[in-house]
Amino acid sequence: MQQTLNYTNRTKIEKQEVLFSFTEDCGDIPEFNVLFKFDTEAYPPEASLYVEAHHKETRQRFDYGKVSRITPPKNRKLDELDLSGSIQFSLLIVDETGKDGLLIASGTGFRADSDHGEDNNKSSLLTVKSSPHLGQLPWRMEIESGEGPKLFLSSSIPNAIEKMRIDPIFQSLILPAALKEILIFYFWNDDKEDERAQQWLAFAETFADTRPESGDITEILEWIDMVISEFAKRFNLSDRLVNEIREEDQ
Amino acid sequence: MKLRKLTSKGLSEFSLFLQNLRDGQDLQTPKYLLDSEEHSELIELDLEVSEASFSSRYEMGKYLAELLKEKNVHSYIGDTGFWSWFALFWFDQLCRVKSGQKSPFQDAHYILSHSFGLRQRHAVFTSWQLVDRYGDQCRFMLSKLSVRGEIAEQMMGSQYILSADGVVRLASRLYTAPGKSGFKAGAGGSGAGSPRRYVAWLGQIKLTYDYFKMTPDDLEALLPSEFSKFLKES
Repeated sequence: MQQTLNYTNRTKIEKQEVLFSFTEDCGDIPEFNVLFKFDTEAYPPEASLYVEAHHKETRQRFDYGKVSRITPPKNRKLDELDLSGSIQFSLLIVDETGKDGLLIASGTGFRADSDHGEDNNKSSLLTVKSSPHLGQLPWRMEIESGEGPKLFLSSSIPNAIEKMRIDPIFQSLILPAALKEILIFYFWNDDKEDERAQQWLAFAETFADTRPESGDITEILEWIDMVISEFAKRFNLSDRLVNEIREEDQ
Repeated sequence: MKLRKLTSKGLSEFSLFLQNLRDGQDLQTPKYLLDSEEHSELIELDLEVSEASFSSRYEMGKYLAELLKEKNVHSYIGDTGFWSWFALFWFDQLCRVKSGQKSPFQDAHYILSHSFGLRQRHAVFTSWQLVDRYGDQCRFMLSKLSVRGEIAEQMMGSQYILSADGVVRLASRLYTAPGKSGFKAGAGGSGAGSPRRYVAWLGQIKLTYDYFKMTPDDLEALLPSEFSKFLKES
């Protein structure tokens, strides 16, 4: 298993300790609110509290003052973010008494409550959705840190989601490549606090040895290939594909 | 030409054109898509875009940062049709040429992708984004035009890095060749002190430090000795 060094005894802020929401009827640019439910006395009173909102590489930081005197900024509009997708929030508690800000606690992957309806299948490892924006692409994987991967199928394919659920041709041709993309993402992103990453890597370990400890890219890719190969073997993907094609040809 | 955005049909045609080029066909760039009613649409921004020639992605980003300055571009940040229109408009200079033939990279370099790790590959969107935010401090990442190069590949691989001001400014200090338009010798490699090592080091300190707020000087003080050869050349 990979190990994380934690020199600063950094703690993790859990999802139930912070509640994000969006202000209703605030115009085109969303404005967020946050309710802190963590024990403020567990941290140094002069530690600084920051909220970050982000989507892809766009990021906006908001200064909430000190842990002992939380002061929400007046302007909480997300006017610097790419709003084309789901917004995620992070929380950081930082010791700024020294020259450099040391992270005391952090939590990532928070989402505003009104955003939750979008992901109606949170218990599933993989969300499958239909999309009209794929052009000539039959499918596309979209993964964001802190969220589960989403497999988008072109809405121009009749009954695509149902086919993905039951059709051996769909499953055999899409799932191995999708799984590979997911595992590469989680290795690349390397966020030890991302629950989804840990779930996916644990899932992968059910098909192969434990994941490589080193960051050696060749070793990682070989391990991923082994996972994909064992995954295909366990579900007889190639045999099922061949059988289905033969049945269709008859 | 008046700025528009490509529709999904325009994007499909653009993608097909790229695929045909990759398949070895010798084709004219389908510029008609740029103002055809079927393949593109008018947008709220009323702007004329120049057919200027650029010497680097930095120059292109600079032009765009000026063009879009003080315009309300917020809603276009993740808009595939908007940024891909620019890439098609300037495609002849953005496309790599091999043995006299256009030889494009994968679509994400010209058609803005929504996938992780691919969006930063867009030649136009990323150039604008970096120059708009960092000005000439990002020159070292955008010194080429038709290819991205190793430095951009490494620096743009992590979404957090591009949004951390001190991180980009220290990278500029490390790798920008003084008085030149490009980067220092050795910065395009993968050895000690290279951008690849810089990104790996940032991944380590991210767990301990709040580097989003750190200045380039604060970060420089923490740099391991392997980077000193690039610092000395500043």
